[in-house]
Amino acid sequence: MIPLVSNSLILSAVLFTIGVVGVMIHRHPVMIFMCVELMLNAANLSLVAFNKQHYAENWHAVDGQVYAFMVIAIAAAEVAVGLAIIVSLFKRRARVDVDEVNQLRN
Amino acid sequence: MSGESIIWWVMAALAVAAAAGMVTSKNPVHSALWLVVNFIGLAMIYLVLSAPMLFAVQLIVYAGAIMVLFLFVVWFFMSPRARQFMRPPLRSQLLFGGVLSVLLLGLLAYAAFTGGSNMSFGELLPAEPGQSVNEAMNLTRPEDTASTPLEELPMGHPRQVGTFMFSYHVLPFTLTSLVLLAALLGALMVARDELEEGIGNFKRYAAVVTRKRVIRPLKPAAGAATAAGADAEVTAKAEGQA
Repeated sequence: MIPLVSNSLILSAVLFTIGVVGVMIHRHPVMIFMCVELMLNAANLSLVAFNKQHYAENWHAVDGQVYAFMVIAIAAAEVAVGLAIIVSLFKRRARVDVDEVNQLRN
Repeated sequence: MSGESIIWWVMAALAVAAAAGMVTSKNPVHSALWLVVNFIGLAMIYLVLSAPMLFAVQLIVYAGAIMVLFLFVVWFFMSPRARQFMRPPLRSQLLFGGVLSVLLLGLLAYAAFTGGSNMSFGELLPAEPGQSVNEAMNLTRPEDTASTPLEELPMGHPRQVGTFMFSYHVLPFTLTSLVLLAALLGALMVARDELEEGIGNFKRYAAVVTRKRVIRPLKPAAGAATAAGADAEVTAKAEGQA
């Protein structure tokens, strides 16, 4: 394996784990969203690293980078919807911590 | 150590440090800015990994657009109504988060060090030895009208990425536009004001503008006089005229 590629996979795992830690120890949904973004970026990094690894043998294909583009687009959509949900939640109640929001209605 | 390696190590350290800073920071604005630093480090790593298009998109879309949205929402939450943005984590969160994260990191490290070398696309697809996945799937290269063949371009060249995106992946690309449209409409619908309230606001505004009909405010709250002072004044004047 190309050293930078395997190192990138390790880095991706580390960043993903930091994102998981953030999701699990935070209580505010905006912070949880930021950590989810970090996890998406870690996944993107591994996609790009695997693309680099299999570029020559795989007929000069850059599918991994294209998938990373798709992930970025979906992440943008997800952020817009998620932040809209959090804002509308905040309009109804002062506390939006994820351990206190436990009702879908009222 | 080559220049690429140096850049990679510096940016990897920066990205990990920024991620840790984001998770541990007490101030949400600092967290968002740390996340921007992390994105910049990752973008530089993309550059080292021969993905210059992704480098630019990462900077423009992620660090430029998505994080600005995050910052706006964070500032929205830091209004006086939200007294304390981040409360300390629950003890059970720390316990389960720590244990599960250590397990996950161990699993990922195990997979990265041992399992990865045993996996190959050849076992998943019926490819002959030495035959590429694209040949096995009967994918042929589209006609290239520009002078340089795609294989001779450096990896990650925008023309290469665009050719792949708009030939093999054109259906996912099109579906992405649908997803973005649905997200746009969904965000608008979710974050809008309540319907009656919105119509009431509109009618009151119309009354103020035309000075013909007056609709009473929905909430004649005590403390709202300062903010809606001008509005209420005009309303009262219109009532007097009527």
